[in-house]
Amino acid sequence: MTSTFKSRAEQIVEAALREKELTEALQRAAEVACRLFGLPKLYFARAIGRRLHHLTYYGEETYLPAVKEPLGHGLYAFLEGAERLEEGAKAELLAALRQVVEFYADKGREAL
Amino acid sequence: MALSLAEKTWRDKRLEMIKRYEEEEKRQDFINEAEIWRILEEKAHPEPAEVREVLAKARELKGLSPEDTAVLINTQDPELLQELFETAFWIKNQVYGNRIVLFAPLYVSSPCVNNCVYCGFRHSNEAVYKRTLTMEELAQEVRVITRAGHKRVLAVFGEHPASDVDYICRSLETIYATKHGRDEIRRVNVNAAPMTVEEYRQVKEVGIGTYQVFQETYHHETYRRLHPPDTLKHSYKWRLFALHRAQEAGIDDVAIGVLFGLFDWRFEVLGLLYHAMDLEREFGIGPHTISFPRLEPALNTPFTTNSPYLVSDEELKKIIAILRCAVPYTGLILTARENPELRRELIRLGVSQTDAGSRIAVGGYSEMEKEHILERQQFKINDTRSLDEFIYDLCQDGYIPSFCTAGYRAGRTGCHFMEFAKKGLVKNFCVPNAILTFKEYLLDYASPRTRELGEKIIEQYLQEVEGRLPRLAEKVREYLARMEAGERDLYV
Repeated sequence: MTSTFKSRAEQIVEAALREKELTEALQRAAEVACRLFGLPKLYFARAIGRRLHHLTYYGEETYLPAVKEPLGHGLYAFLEGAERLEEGAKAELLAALRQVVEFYADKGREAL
Repeated sequence: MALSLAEKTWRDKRLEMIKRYEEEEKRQDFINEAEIWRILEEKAHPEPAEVREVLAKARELKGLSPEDTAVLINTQDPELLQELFETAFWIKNQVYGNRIVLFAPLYVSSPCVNNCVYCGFRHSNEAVYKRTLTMEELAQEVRVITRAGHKRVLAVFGEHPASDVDYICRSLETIYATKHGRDEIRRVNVNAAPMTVEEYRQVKEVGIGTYQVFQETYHHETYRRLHPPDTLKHSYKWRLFALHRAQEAGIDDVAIGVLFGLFDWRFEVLGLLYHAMDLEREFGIGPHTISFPRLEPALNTPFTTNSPYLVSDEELKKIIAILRCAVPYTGLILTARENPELRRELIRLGVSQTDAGSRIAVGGYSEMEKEHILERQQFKINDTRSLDEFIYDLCQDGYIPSFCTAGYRAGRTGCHFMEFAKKGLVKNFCVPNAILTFKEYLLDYASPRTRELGEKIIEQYLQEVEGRLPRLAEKVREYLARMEAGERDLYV
């Protein structure tokens, strides 16, 4: 018998990879991640030298410092409300986001 | 003085490229002169009720149409003008809070192949000494600037083969890399001649902050007359769409401006508005900042004092207040061209950024720490206060100085920044980051009297944040304590 249970990370990746381009995929990933992990806001930027160039976001601004996490290929996630995440959840979330980024890097769908 | 063979070859090659661009560019010139004159004429004598209606609309922070802006342009009644000034100040505080962002202009190169009638750095002006900094000299300039406490510069380049795109990129890398203890530049904005999309991509790759190109004048005939044929700056279209090309290349913080005094200021204000509207229409992102420098005397440049369109102090006040009402989300930049007394008045009309402790000669910070020499400058500056003196005066007037560079390092650029600015919410970042960066200044660079006054200002603004966003205020207090303990560069 095959289990139909999907982890939160799997749900994020599955939703994101339906999109054609990286920015859209990240936006979709942010939307699903905020819902599943209870984050108020998640946004993404690309490093260009010292500049972190905004890509996309989902959620409501908290006006509190966001936690910046590298995703590889010069991309960063900014997690607002990350202190609310239970133990291990942040790692699970970041692993999913990195998988999304890697997918687009491998496919070369959009310049990373 | 004629161009050298190398200069001429470089210029001619670029001229060819600009001509090709002009033929291929599909965008339509958005400056419709007949339309601008018609609007100005139609709204030539607004009734007080109409003016007040427009001011009420301005307070909604959604910006103004050209017609509404023309109403304010044509307002003459002193009482209504006072209401305009109060509205502008209110809008600025709603959007950005009562903070003033500080920067240092950094003139990196002055040789230029152009011959603009009003410019002290024009090629044919032998009375002004021109030079291009080596990377070592540039690093020395940065050391002097950062030793005073600055964290952001506006790097200015002439249009010349010695300061081409590769030189601009090397300069940005040098500025960012020049660090000494806690002294460093965290954001480099750039004022340089229009480039191709490919060249903009190169500049983007080295971490440009905001890119600014001023149209100087939006009036076509005046533009062509002041920028002689066969110079790179002669092409109106190439310059008008410079920031569109920058956006195409992914530079999403772009800045517009006019050199007031070249043509009728009323026309120019509407020109700026149409420029902002066109950027918004095509990219969804308006100008990050608008500048409104006035023509100032320059050596051997009679046009600067003879122009029939010189703008009075009273007119400049109106210009600033109108721009604040018409484009509420944008940063408004006032420069040290204006004298200290006037600057104090102008800041109250909606200014959000200004320079301080400025030297505008190439190499001016290293070589002229105590004086300003017109023979080496593009024009004359009238506020020669040091950064610390300027900050002290700002604090006395109740403002909080800011060295914030958080936005572009926290991914709040382009449309993301605009979302906050347009809703009047960006102050929720601006004020806390002003507090934090001003604290750094007080700890590391301030004179005793500025430090004493500055600490009181910080407490005052902290209480304001506490009233609106208590959790954020708690975080800022935590960061301030960490800074007292030695940490730096903390921001929200």
